[in-house]
Amino acid sequence: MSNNTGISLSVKLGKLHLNYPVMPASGTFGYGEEFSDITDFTVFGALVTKGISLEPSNGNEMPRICETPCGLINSIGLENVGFKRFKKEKLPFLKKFNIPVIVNFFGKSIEEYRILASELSGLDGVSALEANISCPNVKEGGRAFGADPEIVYDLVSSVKESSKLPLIVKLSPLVTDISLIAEVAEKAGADILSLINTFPATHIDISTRKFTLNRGYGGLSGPAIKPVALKLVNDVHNAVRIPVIGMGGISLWQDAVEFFLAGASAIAVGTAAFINPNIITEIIAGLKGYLLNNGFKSIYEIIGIASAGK
Amino acid sequence: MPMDDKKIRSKISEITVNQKIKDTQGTYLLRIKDPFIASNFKPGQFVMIKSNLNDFDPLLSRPYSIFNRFNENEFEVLYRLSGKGTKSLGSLEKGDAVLVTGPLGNGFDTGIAKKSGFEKVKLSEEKQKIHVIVAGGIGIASLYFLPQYIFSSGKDIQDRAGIQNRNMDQVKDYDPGNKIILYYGSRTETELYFRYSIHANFDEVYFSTDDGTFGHRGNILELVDKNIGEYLRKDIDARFYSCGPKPMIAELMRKTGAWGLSLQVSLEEVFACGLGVCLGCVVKCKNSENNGYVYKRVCKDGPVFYSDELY
Ligand SMILES: Cc1cc2nc3c(=O)[nH]c(=O)nc-3n(C[C@H](O)[C@H](O)[C@H](O)COP(=O)(O)OP(=O)(O)OC[C@H]3O[C@@H](n4cnc5c(N)ncnc54)[C@H](O)[C@@H]3O)c2cc1C
Ligand SMILES: Cc1cc2nc3c(=O)[nH]c(=O)nc-3n(C[C@H](O)[C@H](O)[C@H](O)COP(=O)(O)O)c2cc1C
Ligand code: FES
Repeated sequence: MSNNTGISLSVKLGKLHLNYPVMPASGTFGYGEEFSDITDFTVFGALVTKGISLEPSNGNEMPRICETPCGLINSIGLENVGFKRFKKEKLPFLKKFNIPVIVNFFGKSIEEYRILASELSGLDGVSALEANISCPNVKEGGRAFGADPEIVYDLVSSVKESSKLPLIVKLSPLVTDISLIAEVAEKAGADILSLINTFPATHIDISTRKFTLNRGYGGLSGPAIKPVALKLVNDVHNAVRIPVIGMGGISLWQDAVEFFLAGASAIAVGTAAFINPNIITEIIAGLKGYLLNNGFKSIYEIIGIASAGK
Repeated sequence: MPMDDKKIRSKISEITVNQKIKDTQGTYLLRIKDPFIASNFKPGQFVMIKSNLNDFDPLLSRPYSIFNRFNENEFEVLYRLSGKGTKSLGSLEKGDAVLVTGPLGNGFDTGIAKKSGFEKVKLSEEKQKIHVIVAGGIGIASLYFLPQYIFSSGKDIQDRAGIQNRNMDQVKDYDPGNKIILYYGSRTETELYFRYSIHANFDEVYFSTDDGTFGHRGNILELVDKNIGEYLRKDIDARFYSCGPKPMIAELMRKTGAWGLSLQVSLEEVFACGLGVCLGCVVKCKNSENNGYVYKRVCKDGPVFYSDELY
């Protein structure tokens, strides 16, 4: 720890060791270059990339974003530079900071997930993989991979077979029973679970009577989804033994404390960093202050301790 | 790395002036105390401002062009009341705080002429240079500081405090070849900001309004057409800079394209981050591979683009 408060914020997520339990959320941090011009990464637990696919993707037509009360709907369409350019142009930069690099990735089929996981595992400087399973499974008519327990099992176990890196499985909130999906992912070999991804949502312009976003809909993030995310994180924490990375609308250090109390072992911040690029540093300071003022010595003392009743 | 190394700063800053401009319909001048931004921006760059610090509606910061450098500690923004973000900004007073991130984006390129094609050509030394600035309404905000910047050759503007108050006679001998011309159009008189004082910064100024309440009645590009002969002369190196409504920009792009003249345009999109990380603000740019285009981010790769880059 950099100061002498004697408070420990480091966490071990299976084999993934983080000095600080806070990181950027995938897709809100690019590949790190832009934020490095604004803020220091000193207290970042990890650097998390935009979702990578085997081939580059252009993403959706504009408009891609729409603000709603306390929320943001995005339909970027998973635009990314693809595996080859990531390896050549983006990873060397990310490696420089000596902070664990988590590569978020996705595919159009289980086979693509498997190939990409194996390619990524071969790269020096990648500390863990995060499989985004909220995207459409082209073979199954575009239904999200993450919505079907059997597909989740197949996807996670085949990724595990092809990669030795710690595997984070990022869950979609749009499922009937998230505990079930979480249990299946754990059984298939997931080392860590992260949640939540954005919520499918839309906005309609009543003057043109058209959907505001070109694609018609997108994913909702920001403070609007925080109460839902917190409940889902708590559900998953209660359902599995593996650690959980919680996210969804975290905008203040107090929000972060709530997620730890709900059972998250680490948290990620997305949309809030668009507004305040120094948010992670501020959350770390707030967490330390909270632990100190309440007589805790380690972040572990508050993970999952929220209780019901009087 | 210490904070001082950062090219962009994000911090809470104090408002020193937030005043409605006389004779306008809800247009405000905002002055913010932020020495770093005041001394490190280029015209065409912008800041992200979050005005409602204690709530989440509106959630996102809004982009505003850096309109002017007031002094070494303060810069100014010009904004027009529109929706949630500008209304929230309009409700603030001197002494209130806002979260400001900047300077952001690339800004105008004033040093290198770019004719057709993609090769960059140094401005010809022997030719007379004419900078033609075409502004539409609130679009003046990103262009207003260009003359001062061009006079100081874009170099060490922080050492040239007071340059903003120079008038043309004083700077003539600074770079005798340079001529800076403003074409400024709007719907109506009250949207031609600083119409009585803006002359001081330019060699020539032309105004137009759609309703004829000030200057030429009609489209500002009609006035450009009248003088185009001069800009096309062989001994003249003319370059255009523009910001304004989409139809005006599209028409100007078509014209400068036909004339073979260099044009830089400042584009507007709805931004989420303004930092280049969300990919929410892209524009199609020409590319030899990949079906002929690539997406570039208006906030990071722009907001200023050479018109011949755009798809
Ligand atoms: C690089 C850049 C520089 C800018 N500089 C200035 C400036 O100097 N002064 C200034 O007043 N404004 C400027 N703007 C626009 C400004 O950021 C706000 O978007 C605008 O003032 C409206 O914000 P609002 O919150 O009041 O309205 P909102 O509540 O966000 O929106 C009101 C209506 O306008 C639409 N809208 C919002 N933003 C845009 C947009 N960018 N393009 C098209 N439609 C939009 C919304 O969809 C909505 O229908 C700039 C924008 C960009 C991208
Ligand atoms: C613009 C944007 C792009 C995103 N891209 C990705 C992505 O590529 N992969 C992914 O797993 N999640 C992506 N997400 C989801 C975030 O990582 C996060 O799960 C979600 O936004 C909730 O957190 P927040 O409310 O703090 O933003 C994206 C979110 C946003 C707003
Ligand atoms: S607004 Fe986020 S990348 Fe431009």
